[in-house]
Amino acid sequence: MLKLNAFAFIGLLSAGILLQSCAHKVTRVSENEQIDISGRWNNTDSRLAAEELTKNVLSENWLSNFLQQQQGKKPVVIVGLVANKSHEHIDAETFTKDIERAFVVTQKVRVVQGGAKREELRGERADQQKNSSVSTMKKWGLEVGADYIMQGSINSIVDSHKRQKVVYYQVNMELTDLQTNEVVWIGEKKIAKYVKN
Amino acid sequence: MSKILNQWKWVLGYALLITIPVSCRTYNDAIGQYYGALSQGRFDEAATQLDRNKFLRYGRNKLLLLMEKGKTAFLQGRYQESNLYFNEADSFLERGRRNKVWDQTLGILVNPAMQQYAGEDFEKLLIHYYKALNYLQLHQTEDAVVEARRISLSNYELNDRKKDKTNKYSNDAFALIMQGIIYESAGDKNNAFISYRNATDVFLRQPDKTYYNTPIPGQLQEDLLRTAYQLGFTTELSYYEKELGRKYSPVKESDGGEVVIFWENGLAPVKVENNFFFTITERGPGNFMFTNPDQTIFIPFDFKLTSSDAGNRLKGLEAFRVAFPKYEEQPLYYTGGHVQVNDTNNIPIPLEQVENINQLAFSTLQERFLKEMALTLARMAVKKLAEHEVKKDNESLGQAVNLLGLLTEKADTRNWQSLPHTIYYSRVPLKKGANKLSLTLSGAHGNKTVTLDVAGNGGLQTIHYSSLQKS
Repeated sequence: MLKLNAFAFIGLLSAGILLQSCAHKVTRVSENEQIDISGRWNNTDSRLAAEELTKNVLSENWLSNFLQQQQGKKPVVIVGLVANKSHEHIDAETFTKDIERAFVVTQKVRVVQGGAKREELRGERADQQKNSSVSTMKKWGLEVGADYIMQGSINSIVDSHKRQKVVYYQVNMELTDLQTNEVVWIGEKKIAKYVKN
Repeated sequence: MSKILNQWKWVLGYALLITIPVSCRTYNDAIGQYYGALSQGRFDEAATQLDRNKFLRYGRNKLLLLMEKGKTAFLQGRYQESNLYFNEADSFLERGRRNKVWDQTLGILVNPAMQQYAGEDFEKLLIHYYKALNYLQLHQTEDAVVEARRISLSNYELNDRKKDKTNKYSNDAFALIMQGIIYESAGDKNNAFISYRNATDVFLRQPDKTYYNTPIPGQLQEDLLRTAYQLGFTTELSYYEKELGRKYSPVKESDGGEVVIFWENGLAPVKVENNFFFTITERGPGNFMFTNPDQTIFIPFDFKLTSSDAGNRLKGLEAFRVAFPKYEEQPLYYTGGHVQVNDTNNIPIPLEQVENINQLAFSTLQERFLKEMALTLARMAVKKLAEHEVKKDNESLGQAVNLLGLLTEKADTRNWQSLPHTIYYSRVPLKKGANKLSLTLSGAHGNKTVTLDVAGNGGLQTIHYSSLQKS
């Protein structure tokens, strides 16, 4: 009996280890599926923020007011910086791109390039002045001036005690009239998560 | 009966076979020559020694070989080559052990030194530091930023595993500072601010604002306040001004930009074998504990896998000798330093301690002592049980098993030894064009001044200097 036990013991020990080591496995999932693992900012948060803000910005008064004032001319918007003030490194581009895309796809708002991309465009135009044929060369000074700039910020509050944690994110986006500095729209998306370890 | 005996012979033979590569030297002895050349600054010779070393060629030491190769190439200034090794080490860690089951069984049946070396937590994070420094030297800023993001992932992993406990190594403040420097080099002030703030919070969460013997660096405070100011985060600026008890006054940016100089001083501690003796006592019915002779350590006999009388059967057996690693500090040759830019009449800028690897090594081993000791004792009990069973049938075979147990009991004394004892840093302004930095290191054995040339390009750069001597 005892002899068997020693063997059984080693066997069980090995079996225990065997159970611990699970095989590496990768499964494809839908990008819309909500999978929360760590409680940190993830693709679902980015998607929810984009959906809410896009829906919001395209349905509010500033757009109809502008169309009315300008006799149906579409507003031109530049999507500027989103300041990240949260405790995590969050890539705001995933949802600002979604907003830009909604502007372009719905054809309700025109979008012009800003930031580093605009610099690259100007670089290319400068290059054309030297290297392109006169007939195809793009001219200076014909860029579309934006009517509005969209800027935003991401804030977070973390409240934790022992093994419990509430993480609260607030994404704020605002649209400012470039001529008058008047803020015409403010959108926000709040996300709160409860994490228990 | 004879069947069982035959099985045991098989086990014994097998165990002897895998014991052959085990010797009584520690890891430090095994790589002594490489280590000697390295500490005296003979990096090329160290590289040759490393290539000649047979011990590091064993599959189980692969990670150590990669880390040492990467570090030597880094010291030789071969940044591209260095990153080939570090990237391989990094993906080795991502991939995990080649055969976990076999590896863990080896660890339990023989000793943990036979397992594949999986790296200490701080060693894993320092791989990112070296990779980032290499990329920055090569002006591959985007690759350095990838490293910055990987620092986040590694820190999250560490944080989740330690359940964000402030009294445990659950965040690496230095890695976060490095992350901030990488983002700033890439011109991403917003992400740099987040890194600096997270690093500062790690220090501020400690009761004495000191993280593993490193007080919150003045440079970090300055970097945090500056980035907050530059981004126009006024609420954050005033919050941290209050927390840190200092006011931020903007400084005019120098046209040549700045350089962060990292000084790696001394060598990380080495692991030696430390023997503990335990016996089994019963504290209350059925509640077995391992205890040392002076009864200062009690470790519960937590064998979920054994039959409940395992403790009973082992009770009254002779003492267990358990080999466990212990760190031994490598004394420092230099104890402080400062840097002067361009003109020796300029005010010297002190080099601040930013990471004390020596302390980190000692503390993290201490933190996991109980958990690892329980595992080590489990390993010993398996061996003892086996010996116990065999002795019943065959006294001499039992003695052989006992001898085998004694011979194979060995602590895992491997660690990344070419890491520095302490890392210091300083951020100095540069003028446009050529700059001369004089780095003065001081200690009980005298002073040493080295000159480093940096070309001011308007951005944030990094340079490093290693003095790995020990006294």
